[in-house]
Amino acid sequence: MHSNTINLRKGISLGVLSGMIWGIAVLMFASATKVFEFDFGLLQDFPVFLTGGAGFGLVLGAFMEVLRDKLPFNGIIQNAIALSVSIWLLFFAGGVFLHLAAPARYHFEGEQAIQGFFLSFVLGLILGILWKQSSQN
Amino acid sequence: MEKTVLPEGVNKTNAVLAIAALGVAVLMGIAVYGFDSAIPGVHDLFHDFRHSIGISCH
Repeated sequence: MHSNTINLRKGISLGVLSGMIWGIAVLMFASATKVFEFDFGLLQDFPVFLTGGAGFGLVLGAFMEVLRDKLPFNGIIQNAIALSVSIWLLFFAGGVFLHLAAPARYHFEGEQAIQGFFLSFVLGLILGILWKQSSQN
Repeated sequence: MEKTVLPEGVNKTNAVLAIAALGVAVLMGIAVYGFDSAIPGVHDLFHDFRHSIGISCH
């Protein structure tokens, strides 16, 4: 049964869980692609990526729950991917703005941007799958 | 007795969680752009994460 009541607890829980999984995936993927040199070791970065991923996931999950009836696609996975990429694009646009405002401090890196875009797709995919499973149970 | 009226579909738990989510969104903005003036040390702490997700950095 489809409920019209907003359940932010569900959205945030699934978002944090998917974000933590994503954070670990980002760490593994970025260390494998080597598009930049890590400042810290994998062990030191692990809690940072876990926290960063959880933060992104939390925000994404909250938006998913609040906007679920207003998202453009019929499938939950497609909607989660669209929303995840949209949120990443917002952050990315902020980065581009900072690059334009302070080019000496903020540098635009094409390969890293492509990687980030792909990873935002992955976050949406993880959340979409978890959301679908949760709805079926 | 004063009664708080919330829009349809919004209860107290959701309102608190929405405020918390907004707070986290702001914190993520600070972390992603590395605004040390807001949280000292956050730039270095999230440096590798920022590069990994393709946000402009030094």
